[in-house]
Formats: sequence, C-alpha cells, structure tokens
Amino acid sequence: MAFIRVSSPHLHRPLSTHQVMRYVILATLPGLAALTWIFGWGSLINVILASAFGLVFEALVLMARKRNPVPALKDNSALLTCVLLGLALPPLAPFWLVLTGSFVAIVIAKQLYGGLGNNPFNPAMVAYALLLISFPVEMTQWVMPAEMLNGNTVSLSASLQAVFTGHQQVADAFTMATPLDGFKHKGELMADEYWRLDAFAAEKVWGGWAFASVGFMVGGLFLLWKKIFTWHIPVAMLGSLTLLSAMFYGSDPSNYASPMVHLFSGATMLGAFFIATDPVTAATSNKGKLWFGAGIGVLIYVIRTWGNYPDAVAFSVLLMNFAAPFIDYYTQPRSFGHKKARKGIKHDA
Amino acid sequence: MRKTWDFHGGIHPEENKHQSTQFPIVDAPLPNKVILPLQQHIGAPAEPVVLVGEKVKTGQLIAKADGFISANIHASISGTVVAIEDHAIPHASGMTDECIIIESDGQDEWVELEPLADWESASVDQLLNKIASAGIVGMGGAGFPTAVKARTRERHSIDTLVINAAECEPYITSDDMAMRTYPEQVITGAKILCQLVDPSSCLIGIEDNKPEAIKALQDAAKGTHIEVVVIPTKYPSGGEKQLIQILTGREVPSGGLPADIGVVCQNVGTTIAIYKAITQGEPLISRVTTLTGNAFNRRQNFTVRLGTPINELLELGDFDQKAASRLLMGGPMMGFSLQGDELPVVKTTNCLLAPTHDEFPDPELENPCIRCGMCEQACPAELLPQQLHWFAKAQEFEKAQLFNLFDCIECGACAFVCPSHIPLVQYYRYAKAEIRREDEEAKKAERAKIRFEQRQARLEREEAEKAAKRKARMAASAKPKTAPAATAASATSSAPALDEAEQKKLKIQRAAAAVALKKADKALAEGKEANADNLAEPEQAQQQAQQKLNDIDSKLGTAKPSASSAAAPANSQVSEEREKALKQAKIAAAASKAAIKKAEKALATAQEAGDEAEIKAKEADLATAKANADKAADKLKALQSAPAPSATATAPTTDNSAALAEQQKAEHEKALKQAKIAAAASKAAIKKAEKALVTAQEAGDEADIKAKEEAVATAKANAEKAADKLKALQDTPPSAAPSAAAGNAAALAQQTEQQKAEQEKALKQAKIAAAASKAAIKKAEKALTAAQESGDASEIQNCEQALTTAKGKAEAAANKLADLQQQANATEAKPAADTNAKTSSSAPSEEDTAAKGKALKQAKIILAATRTALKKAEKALAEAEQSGDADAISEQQQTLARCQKKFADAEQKMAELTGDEQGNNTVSKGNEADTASV
Amino acid sequence: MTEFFTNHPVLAAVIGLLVLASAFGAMLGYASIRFKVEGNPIVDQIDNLLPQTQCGQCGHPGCRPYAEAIANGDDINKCPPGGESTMEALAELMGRDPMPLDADLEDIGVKKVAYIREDECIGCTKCIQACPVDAIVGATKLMHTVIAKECTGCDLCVEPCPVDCIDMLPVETTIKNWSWPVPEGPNARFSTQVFATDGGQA
Repeated sequence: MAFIRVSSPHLHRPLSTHQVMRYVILATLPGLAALTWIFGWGSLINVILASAFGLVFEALVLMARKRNPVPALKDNSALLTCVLLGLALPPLAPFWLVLTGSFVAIVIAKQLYGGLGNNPFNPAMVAYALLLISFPVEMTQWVMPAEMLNGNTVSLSASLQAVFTGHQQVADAFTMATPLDGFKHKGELMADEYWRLDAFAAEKVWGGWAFASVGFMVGGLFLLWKKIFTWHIPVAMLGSLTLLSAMFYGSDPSNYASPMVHLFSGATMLGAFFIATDPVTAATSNKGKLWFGAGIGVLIYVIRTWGNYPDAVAFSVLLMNFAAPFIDYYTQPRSFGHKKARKGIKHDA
Repeated sequence: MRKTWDFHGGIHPEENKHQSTQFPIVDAPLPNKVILPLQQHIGAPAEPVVLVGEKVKTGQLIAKADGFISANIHASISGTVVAIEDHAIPHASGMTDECIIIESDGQDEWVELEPLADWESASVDQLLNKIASAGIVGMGGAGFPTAVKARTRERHSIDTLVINAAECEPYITSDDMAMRTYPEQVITGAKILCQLVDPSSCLIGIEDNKPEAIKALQDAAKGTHIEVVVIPTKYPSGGEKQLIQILTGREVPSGGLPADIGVVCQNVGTTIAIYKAITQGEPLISRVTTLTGNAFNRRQNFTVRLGTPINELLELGDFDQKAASRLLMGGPMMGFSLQGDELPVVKTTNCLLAPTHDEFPDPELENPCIRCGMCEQACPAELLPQQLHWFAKAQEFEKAQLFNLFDCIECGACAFVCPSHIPLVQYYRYAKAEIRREDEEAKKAERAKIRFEQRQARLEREEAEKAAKRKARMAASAKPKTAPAATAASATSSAPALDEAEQKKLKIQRAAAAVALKKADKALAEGKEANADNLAEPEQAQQQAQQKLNDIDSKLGTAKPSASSAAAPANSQVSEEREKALKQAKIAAAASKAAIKKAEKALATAQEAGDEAEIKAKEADLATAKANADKAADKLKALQSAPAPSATATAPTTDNSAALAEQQKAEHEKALKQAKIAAAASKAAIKKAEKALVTAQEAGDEADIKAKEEAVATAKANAEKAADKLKALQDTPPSAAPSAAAGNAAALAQQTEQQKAEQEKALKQAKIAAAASKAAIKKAEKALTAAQESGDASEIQNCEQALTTAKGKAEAAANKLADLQQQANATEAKPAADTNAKTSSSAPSEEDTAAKGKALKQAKIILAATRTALKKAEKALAEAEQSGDADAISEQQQTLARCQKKFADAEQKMAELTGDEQGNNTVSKGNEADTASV
Repeated sequence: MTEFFTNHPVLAAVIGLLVLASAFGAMLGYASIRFKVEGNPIVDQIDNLLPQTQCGQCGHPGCRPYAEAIANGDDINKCPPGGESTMEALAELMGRDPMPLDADLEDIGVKKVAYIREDECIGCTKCIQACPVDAIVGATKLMHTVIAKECTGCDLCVEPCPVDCIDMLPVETTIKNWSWPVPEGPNARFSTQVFATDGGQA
C-alpha cells in the first residue's frame, strides 16, 4: 500500500461518462430497430457509416491537436453524436452526405470548440442543420414505409447501391416527402381534405412514423428510469408542443395539424429524449431545464406551422442552445440558508 | 410519529456498516506510548503545562486551553513525558505539529477523579466548567470545543437541543455501537445538556439503518422528555445543518450558527463524553473508534486511548498491508487519506478505514465536465457545484464567492455522483483556501499601508520638532555660553536624533535612486542589445541616476559624521564606546567561530576528496582559524573583565584624568578590535584564495594555479601583517591603562599611544584596500582564464584590460600603504615633541577623533557595499561568459566597469577621509589652546 | 435662409456640424465643471491594488508615490511583490495592455519575510530605520527582531545591516496555512500517455 493523498470523497458512484454515453447509445436501439423495420436498411447504414467516419475524424483531430486520441475515443461521446446524426439523416442518403455531416459534427461543432464538454451547440444538430440548408433535396427525401412497397423494404443491396453510387433512380423510386412536409405543402386544402386525399398512403406513412417515434420514446423512458437525465426537458418540451398544437387545433382543426401529428411524426421524440437532453448544451438547473425544454417545444411548433421548413427540431434545439447560458444565468436555485435565489451575478451583493 | 422534513439532494452510497457491527466494543490494549497533539480541536492550540521528563498519571492535565476557543488535553496513560516536539499528526497535509509524547509505564495509574455527584442541582457554571476542564470537543468530526457551544444560551434563546446520532457516513459505526452499548449514558448526557441549554424539546436524530441502537435509546429514554426521532437514511443527513432541517424544518442561515434559529446540536459521542466528565469526573482520554474496511481482518469497534499510534491499531485489527489501497481517517465521504502510520488517534478520530483496491480503486483521471447536472441534483446545500468548479478552475474566486462557495459543507456528494470523476471537493477546498489567503493578504496590505502612513507622519512630526529645537539652540548659542554643559546636554539629546531623521530620509532616497540607476542601466543595456539608435536618452538617464545616487551618497556621508560629531557627554560616550567594543569583540568571536566551522567543513570535504596537499592546506587553515578564534575569545574575556566604565563615569568632575584614561583605553580597544576584524578579513581572504586555488587545481589549468598560489601567498602575508599589528596593539594596553590614573605624564603618554593607534587604523584601512584590490586582481585573472578557455578574443582583451586596471589600483593601494607606514613612523617621533604643548584638556580633540572614526567606518561600509556589488558583477560576468551569450557578456562587462568605478570612488572618498582625519588632527591640535580656555 | 442651405448643401452640412459640435462641447464643458470630482480617486484606486509592501522596487519611495506615478503614465509592470495578478489588475483599471513584469523570474510570487539572526545582531538600529512599516523592534545595542506578521518582505532592511544578519526567508508552509493544491484538470488524462501534450494550456 502506498500512502497516497486523495481528496475526499473516496467513494464514487460507479457511473462514468463513457457509461452514460453507452446507456444513451443503447437507448437509441429501439428507435433504430423501428426505423429499420419500417424504412429498411437505410437508417442502419447511416448510423454505421456516420459512426465510422466520426471516430476517424475524432482521432485525426485529436492527433492534430497533439493529444492521445485513445482516452477521448473511449468516452463514447463521438460515437453517440454520430449515432444521433445517423438516425436523423434520411435513409438512403448518399454516403458523402453522411461524411460531410460527420465531419461538421465532430471537427467543427465539437473539437474546434475544445472537445467534449466545451461545445456550445449540439454537434449532431449543427451538422443536420448545415446539411439541410446546403442539400435540401437530399435531406427532404424520405424512404417510403415498407407497407407502401407491398411489405417489402428496399433490399440491402439496393440500399447500398443507392448510398454509395448515388444512383438517383434507385433513390427516387423509393422515396417521398415526409408527412410533415406533405402537410406543409398541402396548399389551399383543408386538413381533413388533405388526409382524405390519399388516405391509404397517409395512414401507412403516419403509422410508420408513429411506430418509430414510440421506439425512441421507449428508449428515452429507459434513460429516465436509469436517471441518466431528469424528466424536466422532455416533459417541458413535449408539454409545450402539445399545448400549443392543441390550442390551435382546437380553434381551427381544418388548418392546423393535431397534437398527435406533432408528437408522433418527424423527429419530435428523438429530439425530446436524445437531442434536447444532451447535457453539454442544455441548461443545468431544474428550473432552467423547464424553460429550455418549453422553449424548444414552442419553437418547433412555430417553425413547423409558420416557418419554411417542415421539421424544426434541429433549429429549435440550436436556438435554445444559444439561450442556455442566459437561462442558467437567471435560474439559479436558492442556496441552503439563503432567503432568495440569486438572479445573475450581482457585484454589490 | 414526529413530522420530519427533507433536504435537497443527497445520495445513497453503499452503507457497508454491518462489517464492523458483528462484535461488541472492546477496549484496545494500552498503548506503549501516546502522541497527543496540542491542537485536536478548532481554535487555539493548548499550552503545555508539563515538562519533559515529568511523570504523569492517566487523566492528568498536560496542556491547558489557551484562550476562549481552545480545549484542555489530558494524559491518556500514566508514564513519563518523553518529548514535547513536532510530530506528524493526522491531517490531510501530512505535516507535523507540536505534540506531547508520553511513554507508558504500563501501570495506567489514574489521578483522583472528581465527579460532580449531584449534577441535577449543580449550577450551569459548575457544569460548564466541568465540561471545559475535561477537554471535551465535538466528536463528530469538526472538534469544536463543547463548552463554548453549550454556552450559546448566554446570547441566544434556544428552544431545541438536537443530538446528532445520524452517523450518515458509510462504514462508520462507532456512534451506532456506542449507542447500543451505553444508551443510558447517551440519555444522561443529553439530560445534562438539557440542563445547560434549557430547551423546550430535545431530539435525538437517528437514521433508520440502526434498528438496535434506536431500540436501545427508546428504551432508555422512556419517561424522559427526550425524543428519539428516526429519519430516513440518506447521506449527508448527519450534517449539522441538514439534520436540523430534517428535524425542525428550519434552515441555518448562510454564515450563521444553529443558535441563530434557536437550535443547539451536539454529537452523540460528545454526549457520552459529557456523561463521563460530569458523573465520573473522567476527562476525555479515550473514544470509540471503528476499525473497518476489508484490509482489516478484524473489523470491529474499539475503545481507544487518545494518542494511540495508528500502527498499534493496525496490528490490533490484523491489517493486511498488501491488500489495502489507502488508509483513511474518518469515513469514505469526508475522511482524509493518511500519509503514514506513525500518527496518533485524536479526539475526532471516529474511524480508521483501510479499504482494499476492490472497495476503493485508485482515483480515476479527471474527465471533462459534460455539464450533466448530476452534482446539482446531489448537492444538499443547493449550490451549483458545476459552476463553482468552473470558477475555481478559472481562478474567478470572486464569482465563486457570489455563487455561495462558502456554503459548501464539503460533503462530497457532488464528487460522488460526478460521472467525469472531477475532484470537485478539492477544487472547492483550493478555492476557499485561495480566497482566505487573498483576504488575509488584503488585510495585511491595508495594515501595512496604515503603518507606513503613520510612520511617515511621525517622521515628519519629528523633523518639525527637530527644526524647532535647532532654531532654539541656534538662538541660545548666540547668547554668551553661560552654561555650556546644559547646551551640550540638549545638543546631545536633539542633534543626533535630528540627523538620524535626515539620514533616514536620505537613505530612502538613496534606495530609490539606486533602483532608478539599476533600471536605467538595464534600459541602456537593453537599448544596446536592440542596437537602438537613440541610446543617448537612456544613457543620459543612467548618468543622471548615477549622479543623483552619488549626490545622495555624499550627503549621506556628510550627514552621518555630522550626526556623530554632536558631542555627547564624555562619560556616557566612554561607556558606549566600551559596549560597542564588547559587541564588536563578540562579533569577531562569532565570526572566527564560523570561520572554524567553515574550515572544518572544507577539511572534511578535502579529506573525502582525498587530496593530500589540499588536506594539509585545510588543516593549516583550520589551525589559523582556531588561533584566531582563541584570540577573539581572549579579547572578549579581557573586555568583559575590564572594569565597567560607568563606575568611573559617575564622578567625572572630580577625576577628569581618570575619565580621560578610560576613554583612551576605549579608543585603544576600538583600534584593537578593528585590527582583529582586519585579521579576520585577511584570513577570510586566505581561505577564499585557497578555495580558488583548489578549484583551479581541479580545473588543472597551470597558469591559473600559479596565479592562485601567488594570491594565497599574498593573502597570507597580509594576514600575517594584520596579526602582527594585532599583537602589537594587544601588547600596548597594559602599559597604557594602568598608568592613566597616575597623572599628567601618563596622560600624555596615552595621547601618543592614541595617535599611534589612529595612524595604525589608517594603515589598516590602507591594507584592507590593498587586500581588496588584490582580490580584484585575482578575480580579474580568473575571468581572464575563463575567457581564455572559452577562446573569445574580444573577451580576453576585455579581461586583460580589467586585470591591468585592477593591478594599477592595487599598486596605488600599496603605494598608499607605504606612505601611511612612513607617516606612522614619522608620527611616532612627533608625539615626543607634542607632549610639551599638550595639557590635560585633550578631551575635546579626543571626541573629535572618535567622530572621525565613525565617519571612517561609514565610508568603510560604503566601500564594502560597493565591493560586494563589484563582486556580484564579476560573478554575473562569469556566468554570462559561461552561457556564452555575447550580449549578456557585454552588458555584464559594462556593469562591472561601473562597479569598479564606484568602488574606486568609494576608495577615494575613504582615502580623503583618512587624509582628512590626519589633517583634522593637526587642526585640533592647533585649536587646543582655545578649547582649553573655554 | 432655407433656400441658401438648399443651394449650398455642403456648406449647410458644415455649418450644421459646427453648431452641433459647439453645442455638445458646451455641454461637456459644463458637465466637467458641474460634476467635477475632488481629488484624484484613480490614485486611490491604484494604491488599493498595490500590495503595500512599501519596498521601493518600483523606484518610488513607497506604494502611493508609485500609484501617483502610474496615474501620470508610468509603467504598470514595476511591482514584483504584487506579481502578475497586480499587474493584470492595474492593466484592467488603467485600460492598458498587460506587460511582462520588470523583475527576475525567481523573485516573483515568492512571499518572503525578514529574519534577524539574533546572535549576530549588534543592535545598530539601522534596520529599524529602514523598515517602512515599523515591523522591526529593538533598541540601540539591544538585539532586534522582526514582527513577522507585519513584515511585508520588502528587503529594505537587508542592505543597511552592517553585519549581514538579516535573511529574507520564504514564508514556510505549515499545517496552519497548508491547502489543497488545484487539481490537474481533465487535460492530465492526455499527458499520461505516449503522446506529446499541450496539457493545461488548452
């Protein structure tokens, strides 16, 4: 035994950063499985490709910064970022899209800010937003659900061909706009008219998206149960989104989508449980997390309904990332033994 | 069931308490020795009241509380105090503190205990005194003196007494087992506390993971108003503030005390100690300590005498050294790691924890914070641990304070949950310490400022007073001198002081000027380095600075003699003179002793090196040094045994001649002393030369060796001369002193003697100068050899030049020396002629000479200072040469040149002074007729 | 009038600017008189930042004179006892660029305290006179001693001592003033491996 000097406490909960990250990655599996089940191999290929690219980029950047990449690679943070990016990208996206996305997420949004813990914006969402702005066509083409293809998803070989050769015909044959996109561009049609327009397709597509969303929700609940994050952000985000959509849907159901559409299509569930809860870029105090989550919910609704883009999780999360320090500043808790909570830093106090 | 509250956060670490509750509490065997730190509590360390070697009995007071917040320490075994010294104590730093160490006699013989039999009717003061004298402190961990805490009632109204039996830390079971074993003691102790504090309710807070203890306490508390409140297990519910909130729902205000909200909280172990102190009279000399962790094969609670060395306990617990990962005192959450096992058990040691690697693996490396907020969820003080950690890291301590860093109780819950393994608590401790240090420094700066300003004000005031007095004196001296004695007296009191103030001012100015000069030099050098075109400006600045410095120096030089020229009454001066002589002799003795030591050391190293020639040289050296020391000691003795002048001085009016004689003697002794100093200096020079020789020999450069040998020879010759003179001086006093009282003739003889001494003094100074210049030559030679070695032609030239200058200087010094020696011979002839002219009134001139001597001394100091500067410059040059940086070398050479010039100036001034002295001597002689008539 | 201005737009602009400038100038001039601040508070502020060692290493006799000098444009890097932090605080206060300290590296940041070797002290009082904060006690021919608590470590007593019995000792770490060091930080995990590192700087 050596007489070592260690500051107390000497006991630590056996839960390390890499384990936290691993739990989150595991929790994406139900969602990934659902996506694969419904939309075919595309998402799985995305995730695998993005992870591979991401890890390589992480290692390269760290070596360029003259650091040993091993400890950073071991903490699973790059892997998680890339998995989330892969899930967010449309299936059968060309490989260069994934490559660009991984590069932006790892090199620009994460490492250039100083690596793990120092990035102000969610790296996966930065990459997603950048791709969405730069390559709108590729980013808005989503694969048709299996049921619309007579129960057969796109075959693995066809998927790989689409991804790597960029054979547009393969992709075009199987892709269509997402329900949110379709709803957005319904033109002068009333909501129920739109739904009726192609009832079969709408039902199938809607059902597929809902299924994937439930998959993500299950994963998120698992993380909540594991106490990897607190309930505040998902509840606030889903709550504000539900509330807003219910208000508008209630006042004018013919023009506005129902809360169910908002909650169970697009990236709402993925965002609520996996993106917005990224601790590095979120607000920290419980009260702050409520504000942060609610802000995301409101922004999602606003952008989806009146904005230019059909889905808005990435933009909303990024916008609230901007606001996180500000929220933290004004939502400090009241410390034990103090009468009032401190609002910001006052130098005369 | 009483309502309880909850506190924010908290954690549920694995409890691991069952390991140490399987067996009952057992008395540990008596230790062979105990180590009792004087500070085992918060507050001032106790003051020892026993001496080394004293026999003490168990329970005897050995160190007394020192101040209001402090605690007594008692012997925990009977035996002998073997030491009161610094010893490693259990502290996170692993450092030492003062301890009393007692070796056991194995008897465990107790002092007679004085219980307070009828405590129920005892007064509050009686109880408090008893608790205070038993040295009881909070035994939960902090160690705050209990008597002080119990006294809070005097200032606050207390309605609730809380007994903290939560024991929330994992592993520790000392309180649990104590409650199971002595529930009555806990309850009685609580009753005593109730009597002291007089609360309306008394609550014992205990976590629900101790069912046996709860049962025992509830049984014991039946029929009393004491309530056992079971609270849910959650760390840190045993924190004082947290427990109070759980039990009462009140929050202790930030920065406040529990007493502020009407609560007093005491640990359950403290209650038992109070019970023992009151009902049995037993002071705090033992406590229950848990030995646990899987590296102990015997995990159990023991009653341990305070001061027991931990290694004895390790043996008792069958400690497995190999399996242990570390050794902790206290629990795993707030305990600290020990840096050794020679440490004692203290009053707050509730647990010794020796976990294995499986239980507590080595700390993992810190990962980046991912802002997960888990720390915030766990913090019982509702702080933002994450923010605090950022602030501590960025050293933004002000912000950390604004985020209530000082409300952190260092419970470690945040670091426990942190997935990134950030040592958060260490960050907070660091930040707290830094903030305290900064506060301390700010306070100190403020105090320094006030002191400085007050001092300035005082100096100004004094100066004003002096000026006023001087004016008054001038007015007085314009009048006929009816009472010269009175004037003299007033002059002595005011004049030197005045000059002192002036001198001080000058000195401050001088320091500033010196710094300015340095700066200017540097600027110049930098400018040169940068090859700047506009060197004129810095050069000018440098010259100005130099000029200013010189001015101040000269002013300083004149100020000093003028200060001392203010004549003091003869008798006081004599005694002063004598004391000075004594002190100087002492210095000489000390110096020679140091010289011996150095010589011995040198000898030892030489012997180690095994170089015979060197050893011989060193031995010779040592012998001289010893001889020197003997001489110094002799002189010291002689001085000390010489009759104190004060006796003679008391009646100066009746016996002028005696006083005179005394004074002359003093004068003579001064000369003697200076001779001795000179001798010592020359010896030091020899030693240095020899050292240089040795290094030269090591380096193997023949030319250098030769040069050095020569230098040694000269130095030795010099030393011999000094020794001769010393001897001559020492021989003279016997003839002078006794004859002094005989009368005029003898006085005259003394006069001559004195003049001779004066001459010799001058001579000596010249000799010193000569020696110094020789040293300079030596240095220059050394530099030259170094330059030759490095082979830099320009450097060599420079060095050669320096050498020539040094040699020239040496020659000049030698010349002067010769002149002086001639003069000395001449004056020796002269006194015979002077004797006729001289009468008994030689005192004033005598004083004059003394003043001159002082001036001379100051000049010498300046000379010495410049010499040191010179030496430093040379050294710097040598270093620069070694590094081979051409710019640096040239810079250093310039500095050297400047220093040499300064040195020369100083020498010149010195020479002037010496010359002056002689001149004045003649003048004073010429004036003697006048003075005599006054 | 209006016509004139419309015909001569450049002239109009010039006149307009002149009118505005004189109006604002008058306002500023009035404000500087009306809200004049007595004394020179900047000197006090600077003085508060200085460590008050009164050591004179800046070339000024005391901290306040240096504060005055800074206020009049002297460099802010002449205070070795204050160290980097004082220089930075001064830079911030004065709105100047931080500059490297004008001192030897080993002198910066080491707190020192004077110590008199009492056996060797001859009681000359020279150090007492030199001490700017009266932190040395003693009388003529009696041994002197330093009140360590008040000593600012300024060095000024060392030079005047004729017997060189004053040492400047670094303030020792004792169990009373020991504190936990700052942890190494997360970059330490990169430095334990084979790769070169810029640990701690990033």
